[in-house]
Amino acid sequence: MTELKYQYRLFIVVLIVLGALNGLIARLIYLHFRFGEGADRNVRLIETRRLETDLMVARGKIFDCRGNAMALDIVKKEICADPAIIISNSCAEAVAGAVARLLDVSPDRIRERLNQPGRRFVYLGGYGRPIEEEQAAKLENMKLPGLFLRDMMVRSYPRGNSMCHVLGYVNFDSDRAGSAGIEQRWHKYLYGVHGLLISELDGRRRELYDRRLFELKPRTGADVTLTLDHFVQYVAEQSLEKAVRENQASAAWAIVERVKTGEILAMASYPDYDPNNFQNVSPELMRNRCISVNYEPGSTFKMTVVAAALNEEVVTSSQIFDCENGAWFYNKRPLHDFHPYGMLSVADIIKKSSNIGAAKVALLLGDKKLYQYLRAFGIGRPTGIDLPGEEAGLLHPLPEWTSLSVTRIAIGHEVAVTALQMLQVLCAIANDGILMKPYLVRRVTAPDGQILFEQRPKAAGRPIRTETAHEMKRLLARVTEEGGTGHRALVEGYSVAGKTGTAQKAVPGGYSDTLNMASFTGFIPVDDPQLAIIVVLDEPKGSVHTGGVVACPVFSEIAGQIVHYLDVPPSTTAVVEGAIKKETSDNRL
Amino acid sequence: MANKNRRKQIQGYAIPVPVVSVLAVAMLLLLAYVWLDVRSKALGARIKSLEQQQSELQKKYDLELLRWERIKAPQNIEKMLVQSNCAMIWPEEGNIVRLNESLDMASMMTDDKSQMAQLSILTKPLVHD
Repeated sequence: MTELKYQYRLFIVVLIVLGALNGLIARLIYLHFRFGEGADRNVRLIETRRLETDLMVARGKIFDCRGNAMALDIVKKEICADPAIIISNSCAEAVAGAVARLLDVSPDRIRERLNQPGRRFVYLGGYGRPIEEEQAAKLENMKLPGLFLRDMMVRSYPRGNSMCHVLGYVNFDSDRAGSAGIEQRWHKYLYGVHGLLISELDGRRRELYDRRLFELKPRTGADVTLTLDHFVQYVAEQSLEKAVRENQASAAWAIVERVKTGEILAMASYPDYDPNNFQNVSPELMRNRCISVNYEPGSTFKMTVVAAALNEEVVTSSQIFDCENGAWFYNKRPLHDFHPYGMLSVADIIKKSSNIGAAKVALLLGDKKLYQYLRAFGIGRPTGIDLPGEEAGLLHPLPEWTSLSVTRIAIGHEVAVTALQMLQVLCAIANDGILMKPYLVRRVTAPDGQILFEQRPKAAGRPIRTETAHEMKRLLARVTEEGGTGHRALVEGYSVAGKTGTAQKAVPGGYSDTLNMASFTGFIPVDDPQLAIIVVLDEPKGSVHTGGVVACPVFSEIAGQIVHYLDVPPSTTAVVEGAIKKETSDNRL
Repeated sequence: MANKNRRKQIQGYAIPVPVVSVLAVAMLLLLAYVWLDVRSKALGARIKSLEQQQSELQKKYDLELLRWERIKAPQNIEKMLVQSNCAMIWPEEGNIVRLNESLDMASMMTDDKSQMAQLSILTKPLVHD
């Protein structure tokens, strides 16, 4: 009897357990297959659990030639909000006040953005406007409902204004497209490809790794290494800023190039801007004047004409020309010299920068030959440097030349160049007549170390013979001797060659009597040219505003520092003897 | 008819050996599945955590790089020198001891010699029009 009783109890227990199990199984089947549920609800459930997100990716870095990062991506936070939650919690006022205090903006602006109950997402700081780390930490501590921080990639330029015109900047749009300079021209290498992750979330909105359906890893952008050197660039920028201040110029720009390779070591322009805050900068400030400003080069252009005439052997450097005591009429139009000269040799025409002498040399050369040589030196076409927005200069086709053109082009009028083009002419002379292609990008390296692009020095032409180049070097070295227009360009211990230029600016109806472009183009040292530098000052305002007075000291300041920095051996030839001795304090870092 | 030996009779229901074997195998498979599931979940969690760690480290590295670049910028060094009342001057030529050819000079020698040689033969200007 007792045995039967126990069997009965066991039966009951088994029945209950089986019943419970059946219930659970039935519920599982119901939940799994969702019998009787509407299709919408199923879709909604799947969507709620589904995670589909873009994986952030960094744009490639930009380095100078010494491996200093000049542009890189960092992760910052942006303030976002869910207005529906904030309004349902009745804390819109508190949120608006807190965010307004933090961002130092009007609370009304925040209130306006929050006052959208139908929306589940708004940017409170504005699209693409990150906040600083400290601000993010403060906001997180406040624990305000409906307010959250989201990671965003921000392009950062650690050196601020330095190299701004070369580097360019990156837009805030979703593609983060480079919009100027290297960022624009090399965007196809620099930009990274976003990744994609499709997965499922658990009840706490955490990703379930084992439910990951699809994962496309992000591809970081390639790094670009420039030929620019951060210190050379800094020296150039500091010198330009000082020159603009001292001469009350409207702008100034300078380029430093390696004569034998065409590598650009510095490309500076002042006034400049901070690419970290490019939003409110005027387009004029963003212009890279070194390649985008066409100007009449004035007397610096005489070296092109004399080099061509010497190469064609229509003149010799010792040939004497009558410089007409400062005033000469050609085709009933007057031509003047800054100082009156009588008889001058070709060498002295360069040294004293005689307009009349240069015009007479050009007449001997003839317009066809002159045009041919100007084209050979690269005048009138872009150099092809790795930057957007390069101007071609202006050289009218030969049939459009007037009878006066040859005499005006000889003195750097009726022709327009960019600073880079003018520097190229000088580099060709300094480099034994071989014109090198200028370049700014040394290599592009993928994140895995693979070199995607590499640039080597490349000859772009040969406008003059070696002997002519040697003769021109000798003539240009005389410009910086005592009595020459460029003696302020000297650097202690080094021989310097170059040419000064002062050109009146073209204004509607003719040329301005007050507005000038002052420039100096030179190379150092003369016996073994390593570096070529051009300095241009736009509208210097002083009692004397010639290239020799305002641009030569800038050249001297830049060259004086970088020859030490780059360890350029001092000159050993007698050319040094005329060098102006300077105080050691001038050579301070 | 002989009487049944009650002592030799098997008490209760004996489950056949094949069924027991199948059940045992099923049980083993179930345990293996559970073990693998737990293990893969643990690995997944670890991978997730490492991914997050890597991402955090990358963020920190980039921020440190940014700070370092700002610190070593020439304008910052110059500011620090002024604050510290220090001045730097370039060494005199006589004070420099060169152990080997400077890197800068070496990099200048990378030009393509054959290209130069070809161009140096030309006696007339080469025009690219």
